[in-house]
Amino acid sequence: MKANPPTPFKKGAFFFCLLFLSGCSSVSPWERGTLAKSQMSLEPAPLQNSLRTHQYGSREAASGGGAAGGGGCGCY
Amino acid sequence: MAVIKKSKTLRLLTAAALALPLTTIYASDEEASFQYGHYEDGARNLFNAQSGLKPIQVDSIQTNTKLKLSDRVRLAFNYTQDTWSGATPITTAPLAFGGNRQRQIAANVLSGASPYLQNKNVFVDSQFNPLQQDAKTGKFTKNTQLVHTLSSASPETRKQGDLRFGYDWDEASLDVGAGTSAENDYNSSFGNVGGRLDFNQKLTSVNFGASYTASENESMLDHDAAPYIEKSTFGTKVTSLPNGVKLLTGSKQDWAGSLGLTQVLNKSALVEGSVSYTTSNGYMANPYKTMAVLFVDPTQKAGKDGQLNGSMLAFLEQRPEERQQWTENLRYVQHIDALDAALHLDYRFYHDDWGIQAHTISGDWIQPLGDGWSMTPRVRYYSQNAADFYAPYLVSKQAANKVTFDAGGNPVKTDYNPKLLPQNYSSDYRLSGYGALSGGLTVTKKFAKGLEIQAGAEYYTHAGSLKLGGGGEGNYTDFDGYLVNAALKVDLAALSIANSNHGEHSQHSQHAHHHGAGVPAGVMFDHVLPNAGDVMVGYRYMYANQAGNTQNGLNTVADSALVNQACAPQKCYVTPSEMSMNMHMLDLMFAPTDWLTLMLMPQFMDMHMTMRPLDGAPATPAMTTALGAAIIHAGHEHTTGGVGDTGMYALFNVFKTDAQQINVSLGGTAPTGDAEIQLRDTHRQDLGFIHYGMQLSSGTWDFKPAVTYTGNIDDWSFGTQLNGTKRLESHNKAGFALGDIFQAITWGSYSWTNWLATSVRGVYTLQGSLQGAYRGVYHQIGVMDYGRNYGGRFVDVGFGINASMPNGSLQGNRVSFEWLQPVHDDVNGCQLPREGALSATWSYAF
Repeated sequence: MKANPPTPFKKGAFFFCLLFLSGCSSVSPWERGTLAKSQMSLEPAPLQNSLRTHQYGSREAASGGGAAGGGGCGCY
Repeated sequence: MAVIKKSKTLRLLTAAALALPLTTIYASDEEASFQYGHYEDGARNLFNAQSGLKPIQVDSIQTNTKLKLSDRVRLAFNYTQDTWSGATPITTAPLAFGGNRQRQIAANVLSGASPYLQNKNVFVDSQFNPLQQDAKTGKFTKNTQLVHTLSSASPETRKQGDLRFGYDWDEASLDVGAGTSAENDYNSSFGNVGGRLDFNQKLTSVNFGASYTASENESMLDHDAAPYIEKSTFGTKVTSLPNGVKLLTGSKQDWAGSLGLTQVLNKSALVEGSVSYTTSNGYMANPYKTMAVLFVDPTQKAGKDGQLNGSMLAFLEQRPEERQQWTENLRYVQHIDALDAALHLDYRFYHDDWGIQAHTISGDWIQPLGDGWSMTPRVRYYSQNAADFYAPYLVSKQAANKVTFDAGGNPVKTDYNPKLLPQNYSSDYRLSGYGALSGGLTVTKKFAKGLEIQAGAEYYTHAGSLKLGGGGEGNYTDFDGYLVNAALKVDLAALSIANSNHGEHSQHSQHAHHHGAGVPAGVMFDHVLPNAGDVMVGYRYMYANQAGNTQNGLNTVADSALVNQACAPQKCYVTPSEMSMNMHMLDLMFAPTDWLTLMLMPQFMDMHMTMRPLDGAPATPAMTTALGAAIIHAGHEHTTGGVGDTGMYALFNVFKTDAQQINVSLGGTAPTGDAEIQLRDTHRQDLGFIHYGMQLSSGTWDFKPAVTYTGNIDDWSFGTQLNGTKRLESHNKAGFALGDIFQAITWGSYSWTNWLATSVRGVYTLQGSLQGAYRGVYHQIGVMDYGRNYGGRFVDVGFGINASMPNGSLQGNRVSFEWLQPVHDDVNGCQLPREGALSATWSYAF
């Protein structure tokens, strides 16, 4: 069996991980219990977050940052 | 046994962990949620000019539904509605120029400040610093203090809906969505596509997205401010309507794209980095913001104190028609094993070609407390520098207008040269340099059956002095505000798991379903929960509309009769032409014991109304009178929205056999909504209270008993209900009370299959007229302003369809719709006839 050469993406992921001193360690599926906890979600409170984002968007110049679209005018 | 069990659990966990990418493992595929939010600004510092205007406040409601159409196909629907009213800055000017002035409405009574955008007699020193003139001594002193000029708005509502389809592969997903957002003056539509690719045993994910938004702006300029705004630099964008209203139109397109990478670092940390880019073109200014320009002719001869005379004029702000925005975002999540907590750290760097750079850093600490409780304290810091074209106000070294004499000695008037002004300018404080610090706390409680309740509060403070590196805008821009929210989330998949695991619950849900199978959507209080500990959550929506020719009793009435009769002894000037109401209700039921069911029903509503002038009405008084201003203002559509009254009920079963039951409901509504909404000042006149029917609350504590009989034979079911509303107070704080109501309902329904039923219902309603009247400023201009023109005797026929999911992952969910068609309107006094009402409900008992 010949090992697959690393794809450009894998290289990219590797360098991305180098940014963090802890580095990437391989995490087996049975070691992912902590990562699967709700508090570890990247978006733990999406409802509240959407409300806050809308509020910040109507009070600050640096709105957006995503690619979802919408939001209306907030002309107040 | 234990070993086998453990390994089975491990196998399941492993399978789950492998099947789902870690970045989405926590999001439920099937859930329904509802959120209410309230934001309110604190009062602004206007220095010696104290404003009586209420700061801006925003009420938001939001519903989200996520469903799985098949193993791999997802559907999500989101609806958001914001209603706002209150004062915000319209411009900024030196304090010495007197931008905010209070209006005296009676001896020693001052009303909200009116914005003064123009002042053609201001003074500056030779360095163009503003001078304040002492009213008594006439002496000039330098005063560089700036101040916002505030302007207030009547309530306005924005509604947004969007739909999103998703498809999941084993190691990828794709989402496609579209939606639309509508306001009186601004409409936008958007489409987006997003996806995720998983690699490296799902320890690495790439996320990408793209969106397109098209917006149309059609803003009516504030008619109080419009005459004082220089529109010359706006060319053809400002047009005049036949009624003199100035309309500003513009369109805008945004394209956005984003790319992100999520990486699991180790078994207790993950990180995400993303970049996004947005390019926009079109009209991007705020039509309700103006720029104060101080014109000073430098060639003039200085006064005896060295003062120069100038004019301050207001211009609609001008922003570039193109904008490129970049955002780089980094998020890091670390599990703290000792406390089972999670630390979330986010940093965002934003920059655009308007010269704005902004840094945002935030930290959340999510601390589970056991028994389903968790607590999340949060801090956030934001800092931005000013846009290139931001200035609090502009100084133009030329005369606003000048009179010279030609060779023949004739006067020649020359206006300012707009070409000497910058191409773009804005004094919007949101484009200034400042920092904002906020902190908050969120508390969440998860119940075993997949129900989650969340409440949060955040305090926000904006200050020029908080800008990173200093040099922010002056303290006149400082303000604070707070945001509170409450949310209810139901994990539909968890509910069905709970049901399939618990025979008792499953039986109950079928039991409830059997009895409720044919109950029309518009009927409430028809069933109780049979067992202690049972819970039901539901959502009810109601839309009702009135339109057509105004009726007197049973018959339509001519305008000439309305003018003379409906408002007697005064005359009517206007009558409603269309009125609509949307009501969103949460239906939360809980049985603390077998014989008692408690029900809590918060309500959120919004109203909309248009009026038309009556033929043959007397001539409208001048706009400089309050009555004249109120009549002119009736040409605009009126909108209100926000929290309504909250229902609290206790339900009992008093008779029950296999096929029949009688339930009694006792309870009523608390006046949690606003019954004192007022229109904003217009034409420097206090318009006072909005029309009775536009208030969001009865304003009184109301007793609402109901007795309901239901029965079923084979596939037929039927029921009858008597209910009433008794106002427990003779008048509310505003001074009036809505009429009492008696209602008799009867219905029959047929179940075509085990999941589908249709119903027919008859409704008789008797409602008394409105008692009392507003205490305070209120201008009676039309039919809707008199209590005798409320209530009546009404008959409706309802046609309904009910569906319940008998199996599958959504088992136990029930949805129903009903259209209520008016067949007989015998109104008290004169009123707009009803066109019909739509009810839609979703409920789930477990």
